[in-house]
This record gives sequence, structure tokens and C-alpha cells, in this order.
Amino acid sequence: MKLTHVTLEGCGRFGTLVRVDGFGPGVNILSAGNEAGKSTLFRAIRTCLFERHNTTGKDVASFATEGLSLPVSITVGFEKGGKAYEIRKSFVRSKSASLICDGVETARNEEADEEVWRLLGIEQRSARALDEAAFGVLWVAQGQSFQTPDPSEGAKNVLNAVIQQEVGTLVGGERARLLLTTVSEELGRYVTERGQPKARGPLDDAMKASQKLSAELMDADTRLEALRGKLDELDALRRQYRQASDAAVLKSLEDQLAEASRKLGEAVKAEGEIRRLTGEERQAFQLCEAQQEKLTSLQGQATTIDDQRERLKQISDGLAPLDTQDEATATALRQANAERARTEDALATIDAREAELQRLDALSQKLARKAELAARLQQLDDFRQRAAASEAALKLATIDDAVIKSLEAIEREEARIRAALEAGAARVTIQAKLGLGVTLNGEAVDGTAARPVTEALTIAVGPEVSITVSPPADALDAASAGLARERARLNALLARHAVATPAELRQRHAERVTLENAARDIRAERSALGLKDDVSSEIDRLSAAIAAIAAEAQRILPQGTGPLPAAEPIAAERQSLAERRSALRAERSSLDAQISAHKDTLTALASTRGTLNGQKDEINTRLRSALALLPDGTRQSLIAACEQELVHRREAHRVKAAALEQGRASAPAPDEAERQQARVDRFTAALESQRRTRDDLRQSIARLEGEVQISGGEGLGEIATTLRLQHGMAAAETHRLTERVEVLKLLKTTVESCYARRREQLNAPLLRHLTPFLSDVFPKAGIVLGDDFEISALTRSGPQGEAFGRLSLGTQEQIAVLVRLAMGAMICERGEDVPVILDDALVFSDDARIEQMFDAINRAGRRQQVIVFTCRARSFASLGGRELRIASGHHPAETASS
Amino acid sequence: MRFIHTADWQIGKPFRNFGEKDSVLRLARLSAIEAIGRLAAQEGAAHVLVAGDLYDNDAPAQKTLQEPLERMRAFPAVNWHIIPGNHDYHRGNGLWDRAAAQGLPANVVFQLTAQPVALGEHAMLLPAPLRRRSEVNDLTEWMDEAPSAEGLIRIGLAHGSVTGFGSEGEAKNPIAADRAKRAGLDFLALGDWHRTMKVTPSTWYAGTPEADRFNSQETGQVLLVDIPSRGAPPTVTELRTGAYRWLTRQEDVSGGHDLAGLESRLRAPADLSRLLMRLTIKGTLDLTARAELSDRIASLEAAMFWLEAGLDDLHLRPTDDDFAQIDFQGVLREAAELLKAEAENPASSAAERRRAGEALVQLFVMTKDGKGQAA
Repeated sequence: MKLTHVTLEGCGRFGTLVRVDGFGPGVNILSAGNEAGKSTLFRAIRTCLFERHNTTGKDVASFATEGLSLPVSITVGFEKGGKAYEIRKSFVRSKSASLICDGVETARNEEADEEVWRLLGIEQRSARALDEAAFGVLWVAQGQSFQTPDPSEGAKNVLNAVIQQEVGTLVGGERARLLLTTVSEELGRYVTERGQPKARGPLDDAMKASQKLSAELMDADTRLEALRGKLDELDALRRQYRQASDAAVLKSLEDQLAEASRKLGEAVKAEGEIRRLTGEERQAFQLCEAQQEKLTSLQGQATTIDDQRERLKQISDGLAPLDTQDEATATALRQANAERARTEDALATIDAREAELQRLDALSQKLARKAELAARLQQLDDFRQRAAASEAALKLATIDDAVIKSLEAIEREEARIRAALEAGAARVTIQAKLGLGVTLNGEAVDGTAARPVTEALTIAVGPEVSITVSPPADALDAASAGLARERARLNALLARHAVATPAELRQRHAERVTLENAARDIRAERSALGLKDDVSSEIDRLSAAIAAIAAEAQRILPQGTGPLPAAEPIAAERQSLAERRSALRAERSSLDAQISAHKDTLTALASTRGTLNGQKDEINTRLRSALALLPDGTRQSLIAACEQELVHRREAHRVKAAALEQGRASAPAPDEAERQQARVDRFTAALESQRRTRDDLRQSIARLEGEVQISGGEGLGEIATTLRLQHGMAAAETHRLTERVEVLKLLKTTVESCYARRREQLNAPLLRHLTPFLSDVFPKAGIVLGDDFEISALTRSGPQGEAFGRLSLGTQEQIAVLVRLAMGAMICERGEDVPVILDDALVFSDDARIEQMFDAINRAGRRQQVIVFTCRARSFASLGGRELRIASGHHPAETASS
Repeated sequence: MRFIHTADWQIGKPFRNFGEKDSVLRLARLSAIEAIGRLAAQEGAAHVLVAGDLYDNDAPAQKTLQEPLERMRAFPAVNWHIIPGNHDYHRGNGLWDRAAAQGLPANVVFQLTAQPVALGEHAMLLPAPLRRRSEVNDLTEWMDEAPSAEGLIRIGLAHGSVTGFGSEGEAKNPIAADRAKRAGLDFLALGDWHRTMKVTPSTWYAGTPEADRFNSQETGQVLLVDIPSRGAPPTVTELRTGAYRWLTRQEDVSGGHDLAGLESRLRAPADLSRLLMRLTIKGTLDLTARAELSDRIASLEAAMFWLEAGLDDLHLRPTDDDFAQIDFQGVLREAAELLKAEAENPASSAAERRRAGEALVQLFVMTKDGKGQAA
């Protein structure tokens, strides 16, 4: 089927009759601006073909042109099976339908409606519903091109009929899907889509219950084990308590303690007697020692008195020569101080002379500097005069480069005017021998004479003939005016600079150039002189410095003192003074050392005298004390009485020592008491330890009994056994549900894989037709189709596809259009020629992609009719194909009458 | 001398693996004590000898501890002599001390030491209580040397495994098979095995008074023992006390035609509401029969107190009709054939084959139920 023409009247914006002719095979394009009526046209074609003429549907009623009382009249012409058809319908008012085949009306009204459907191979599903079949898929209204094709049942039948002819049918697909839904629903109760147990689902509940019971069981087992451990511990403690309470052991320990205590008492008593005898012996011994010490003290006192008397004598002998040494040293100190004062005076005299010589030397250097300053002052003064002269001359020389440029401009303009006059002038050339009397402006011509006619030329041939050749008056006048203007400018320039001729002007300019060179030299000299400030300031500064030096010379060398000494005598004298100063300073240092030594000697003598006098006083004091205790008169008698007392006390000590020795011989071993005490302590500790052990064990047993009683009452063993069973059940339930999930998964994957394999076979023909279209736009890409030709994904760089819904809108639209083109091609290949109509499609395609889509559309146009409505004339300019236009039409009757 | 010999009450044993039936089965064990008390009164037995494992656990809850004692208290004319077994062995401050500390009924005696105890005027009880869960020595050995007055009937009471006599006992605790002879016992009352067993004419395991497991004693019972005089052979009578029957059955099927007979056999035992059955079905079924079997098992589960059906050894052999019920051709048919191939694939593990078989059954059931039918 191919559309051939469409007319409509009273439809939407087309109140009057319009007609679109020129539909042909291949690509047809109707390019018109917004609101031109493209979509109205598309809608009109569908209405005419698929709506009953007498429909009361609101869609058709709303299609009528607003404000007019015309019927909605649509005529669609098409070719089918080699015949030309035309279906004419009037809707809303004057409802009618007429089908014309090859110019002959073959059906009218309802019959016409249905005959058209029969011709197009579409079915009426009910009195009201019509399935547009393939037309619904291939005729894409405005805004529909983004959507994945959603074939109606009729369209699916058409597509499947084509596919069945090629690969057969998908048997049981609906049952499989139904079963998969059931399986998925049950699986969904157990697990998530990612296979994880579904939260709060049966499997999740079973697993959590198992985990919870496992934890509780572990806790119960732990507590039960602890209880059994406590019972074991209790048994062990009871055994220990029985052992600690053994009466025989306790009796033995108590008997041994009593025996040890008795022996300890005996040993302690013997030790007391020995201690008493030892005390008495020690006391007698101490009396002997005290008496011996007293005797030794008296004898030592006598010796000390004698030694101190001898020492006093030695000190007196030491003090005698100290006075003589003191006097001699004081005399030597005075002499050294006098000599040092003389040396100081001489040094002061030398320092004064040295200062005077330094001033004279400095003055001498400044006077030498004064001459240098005077020479530079003279040089600067000369420079200042020359610079002032150069500046004054330069001010007077006003002819600079600008003036000369103005002169040259005037001269160039004059030359240009003359050259222009000469170039535009005729040229007179005369050839004559001299003897013929030919003249040009009075000059005889000999041979050839040529001259441009820039002014009147007079040619004479002999006296009788005179020819005047004049240039055109207008050219001559224009040149003369220009030359006069330039001459006036020249004269004004010369007058402005007070010169008579251009040569003089150039002479004066040369002089100025010379002056400028001189000024440049002066600037260079100024730079060489290193002047920072202006010259006058520098001159003033030099003058001031010279005056200052003169004033200083006047101050140092007042009137009458004679001339300034020469530098050499001053230096010689300063050298002599330095040598003399060094000698005096050495002498002064020597005297300072002598003075210091004398002072040290005096200090040492005073110290020695003080020390000896101190010793003397101390010895005298001690001597007086000793004599008070042991006067010289009673010394011998006191010592003799003390020696007698010492003899008595030594005898008494000998008697006590003999008694002690006797007591020790009859006493027990010295460590017996200690040994018995250790045994008593050991037995006591053992008994105490036994008692403490029994107490501790009693407490531990009581504590454990309490704990066991509490734990036992909880029924831990019973709880653990119950939990073990429950845990086993929960684990079994988890296993059962897990197995159920695995079974359902296996069933699901098996059915899905079978279903997918069948579906791939079903989609293969469409994909085969899609491949070339797809390659035009997406090279090496593939399309994954789902159920009912739904576009699932686009595969480009690998097997992993991009979900259709995630692609950009532009790409979605392009793929959807390509799939429709492939469907059309597939249907077309089986002899069902259905046009493809795209109303305002590819709105989001970029420039490159739209060109590729045009390739695909043109590929479709090779085998079937493709009609494109667009408002983007410029973008669709390269689509090619037939251009359609909406034109004002004529009623068939009018056409016939005309 | 007439007494009742019983053992292995295992009061407090949980049955959580039986779901909500747990409390019923626990209560049944307590009710068995009352049945024993009634039997003792009815038969004129003044003593009940409990040969160990009165309790299931050595650390029972306080309520569990007291419940059997209170049941026994209800029969004051009967004297209950109890020794600890391996489940409830005696140790200091253990469950026996706890129970004693609460105050025992006057007719209940814990025999916690290995020493002779008079049983009335004509008999002497020689108990061998366990003090550990597992003893390596024969605790009944002391009975050989235990003195007793001339003419007194000597009755041993012990818990353990008779040496060289099977291995059904739960712990080591060896007991010489000829202990009764060596110790001059007129009767040796034993516990540990949960089924009644005669070792020698004078040595018996009483079994449990209420069955508690499959593959063991089907119904609980006790022994009524009569010993006319010292040296006379005992007369032992088995008396039923259990309320529930524990059956273990294995059935073979070869096709759908076997299923009606199978159900009929399984329904044959009396009092299904007190029957616990562990059923193992072997053989081969097609998918249709397999689905039918599931339906029949569901109805049996409702009829019985408890039914455990093991179908792991039941193999599937789908028929063409089975596959036709799934689909004649197309996606589901192809899936069914793939699952069948996987279920029979020798290279796959047993678990994988089982899952594939189960998936095939699911596919069959779902398509049969209309879940895979096109709308």
C-alpha cells in the first residue's frame, strides 16, 4: 500500500480545502513550520482510514474546524495491489463514505469503511475498537517516536505471522511466564532479588531463630558446664576439708607443741643465769677500764703541760725577727712609688706632644686636598659657561626636522601636480631639418623635438606659418591652481622662519643640527663629570669645602707661627716619641711589680705575726686549765693513788670472770632455746594453718553450695537439652527452606533459560532486519529484545547491555525509530507493504546522528514508502526524497467543471 | 515377694522436634508413673524398684524435679525405691540432694549408697547407684560380698550395660552378665535399655514405661515380678503402661497402583490418634503418582498423632503422560525434560539430582494446579 494524495477540508486549521499531492515510492518529506498543519494532516489520514464515517467519537468531533459548520471531509488516495483507490469520508455532518477503485465507486458508507479495513488487512476487535495492526506500529505520531514500539494484538499478529513463516512460534510462552510469576512470587517470600534471605521472610526467620537458639544453647551449655565444674570443685573441697579435719593429725601436732614448749622453758631459764653472771663480769671489767682511763688521763695531762710550755718558747723565738723585716720592706715600697710618679709625668709630656703632631699632620693632608678641589672648581665653572652658550644658541635655531618635512611635502606636491599635468598632456613631436626654419616656442628644431603640451606651444615653420598648441583649459587651470596653492604654502613657511629661499631654510636647518650635536657632547661631558646635582650646586659645594680648609689652617697656624712644618720631620718626631713612650711604659710596669711584691711581703709578715700571737694566746689558755686540774705541786701523789686503785679493780674482775666461766660450762647449748622456740612456732603455725584452712574450706563450700543450689534450680541441663532439640529443629527448618529455595531457583532458571532461548529464536528475524539499520547509526551495536518486541537494551562495546530506559532521550528515539523501520522492512519483505510515517521525529538528534538516521530512513525507502513530517526544514534538508507541499485544493466537482 | 520393676522414666525429656506435641508427650511420661502406681496397687505390689534414669537430665528444673515425686506421693501404699542412672547420676549437691532438701514423700526412698536395704521382712535390696555418667568399673561387684540374713530374698538394682549383651545401652557402666548368679541374687532389676529385655531368667531390663523413640520399644511397659522365696525362680509379667505407640515402617512402591494399598496398610493400626510413625518409602513413581502420594501422606498426617515420611529413597520416573500434562511441546516441556535429565545425571551430586527431581515435581504440580496454565 502506498499513499498517493490527501485532501481535507474543515479539519482543524484547514477550514478550506487543501491538498497534498505527489506522494511516491521511497522517502517523502513534508517540511513546514510549526502550526502549518502537519499533525492535522497525519491525524486526518488515520481518521479517514481507521474511523467509521458515522462515528460519534469526541476525538473526531473535536477535529472539526472551530467556528465553521462544515463537515470534516477527508480524502485519502492510495495504491494497493496495482490498483488506485480513493476513500472519501465526511464526518460530524453530512456523514458519508465512498471508496473508489480505479475511478469507479466500489463501496459506500459502512461498506466503504469496512472494505478499506479489509484492503489494509486490519481487524475490528469490537463495534467500537479497531486494531490498527501494523499501521499502529509504523505510523508514529508526534511525541510517540521516543517510545519503544508497543505492538497491539493485531500488530503482534502481523509481526508473528511474518516470523512464523520464518522460524515458527513460541509455544507455551504465556504458560511459562505464568509459572515463572508463581515461582518468583514464592521465591520472593524467601529471598531478595540478589539471593539474600528476605528480611522477616520465612527463611530469614528460620535462620535468625537458628542463630538465636545456637547462641542460647551455647550460653546454656556454658552455664551447665560451669555448674558441673562447681560440683566437681565442691567434691574436691569436701575431700580437702575431711583431710584438714583429721583428729589424729591434730592430736599429734598438739603433743609436739607441748613438748617443745617445756624444753623451751628450761633453756630460757639457763640463759637467764648466764646473762646475770655475764653482767657482773662485764661490770667489773668496766670498772677496771674506767680506772685505767683515769690513770692514763692524768699521765697525759702532765705530758701536755710540758709540751705547751715548750711550744710557747718556740713562738716567742719566731716573733723576734719579724719587726726588722717589716721596716726594710716599707722603705723599699716608698722608693718604688716615688720612681713610678716620675715615670708617669714623662709619659704625660710625650702624649701632649704626640697630639700636637697629629693635628699638624691632618692639616697638611687637608691643604693638599684644597688644591684638588680648586682645580675641579675651575673645570666646572668652564663647563657651566659652555653649556649656557650651547643652550642659548639652540633656542635661537628654530629650523628643525619638522620644518624641513613641511618643505619637502610642499615640494613633493608641486612635483606631483606637474607630473600629473604632464602625464595627461598631449605630446608634440616634430622632425625637421635645421634648415627648414621650423621652431618650437621659438627654438629651432634640428632633428627630432618632442615636448608635452602642458602649456601653449608655438610651432613656426618659417615666418609665415605659426601653429599654437594649447593644453585643455580645464586641466591647465586645475594644475595652475594647485601649483599656486603650494607656492603660497611655501612662501608662508619661508616667511615664518624669516628666510628668503628654501636653500637658506635648509642651511639654517644644517646649523641647528650642528648645535644639537654640540648639545649632545655637553650632555655627555656632564655625564663624564659625574654630576648628580646641577653644576651650580656642585660649584657652591666645592667653594664651601675650600673655604672650610682655609679657615682650619688659619685656626691651627695663627699669624706669626711660621709655615706649616714638612711631613717628614713630623713623622720622625712621632716615631721618636713612640719609642720613648714604650720604654717609659716598660719601666712603669717593672715598678708596679716591685710595689706589688713589697705589699705582699708586708701582708705576709702581718699574717705570720697574727698567727703566732693567736697560737700563743690559745696555748696559754689551755695551760692554765691543765694546771688547774693537775697543779705542779700535787702531780706525783695524784698519779700514784690512781695506780693503786687500778690494781684493786683488776683483782675483782678476775674473780667475776672465773664465776662466769663456771656457769657457762654447766648450761645447755647456747642455741637450744632458739631451736625450741622455732619448733614451738612451727607447730603453732601448723595448727593455725589447719584452722584457717578449715575455715576457708567451710566458707568456700558454703559459697559453692549456694551457687550450685541457685544454678541447679534453674534446670540448666533440661534447658540445654531442650535448646539442643529446638536448635536442631530450627537448623532443619532452615535447611528445608534453603532446599526449597534452591529447588525454586533451579526451576526458575531452567524455565527462564528455555524461555529465553525460544524468545531469541522468535526475535531473530526482526533482529536480522534491524542489523543494517542499526549499523547505519550505531556501528557494531546490537539490540536486546524482550517479550513482545520490547527493546530491553543496547549493546555496544561488549556483551553487557545498556538498559534502554537509561539511554539518552535522543538515543532512545533513534533506536525506537530504527526498530520500527526494521518491523516495516520485515513486513514489507513478506509482501505486506505498509508505509512508514514519522510525524516530527528525531527532535533530539545531533547533526552527525541525524545524518546517520537519514541514511537509515533512505535505506527503508528503497523498499517501501516512508513519509516524514517535520518542522525543521534546515535540519532535514539533506534527507532527500520527494518534497510534499500543502496546497489549496479544488473540489473534485470544480476540477471536473474546470 | 511381689514388686514392680521399672526404669528409664526420663522425666523432663523434651520433644520439641515434635512441635506442638511436645507437651503431650512430656505429660504422657508423667502419666505413666500414675499408671505404674495404679498397677502396683492393683497387683498388690508393695514396692516399685526404679532402676535408674528417673530424670532425663542431671540438672532439671525445680518443677521437673518435683513432678514425679508428687505423682509417687499420690500412692502412699507403694514404696518407691529409686537409684540414679547415667542420665541423673548422683553427686554432692546434685539433683538428688536438691530433691531431698525439699523433703521427700514418705514412700519414696533414694538409694544413693551401695549398701543393703531391707525390703519388708523377706527381702533385701542391693542397690548400685551411679555416681558418674560413665563408670568403667562394675558397680554391682560389691553385691557378691554383701551379707544378708539366711532366707532373705536378695534383689539387685542397677543401671548399665550387661557385658557382651548388645550395645543398645546409652553408656558404658558395665555389669557382669552373671552378676545375679555370682552374687546369689534372686533377681537383678536393670535399667538403661529402653526396651524390655530378658538377659537371664533372673536378670531383666524393664524397658521404659512410656516409649520415647522410634526403632525401640513400641509401647511402654513395666515388669511385675513374683519371687515366692529365696532361691525360687522369679515370675516376670510384662504390663503395658504406655499411652502412645511408636512405629517404624518401611514401604516399597512401584507405581500409582500401589498407593491405595499402602494407605490402607498405614491406616490399619488401631488408635491412630495415639500412633507415632516413622515411614520410609522406597521405589519408583511417576509424577502423577508422586503427586497423589503427597496428597495421601497429607491425609495420613492428619489422621496420626505424628507421621514422619521419608521420601529420599523414592525415585521419580516421569512418563510421557506426565510430560504431556506439563505441556506437549514448548518452553515448559523443554524445561521438564532438562530437569529430568539433570535428576538422572550420574555426573551430578546426589543433592543436585534430588533438587532437580523436586523441581520437576514442582513443575508438574504447578502446571497441574493451573499455575502454569495460560489465562
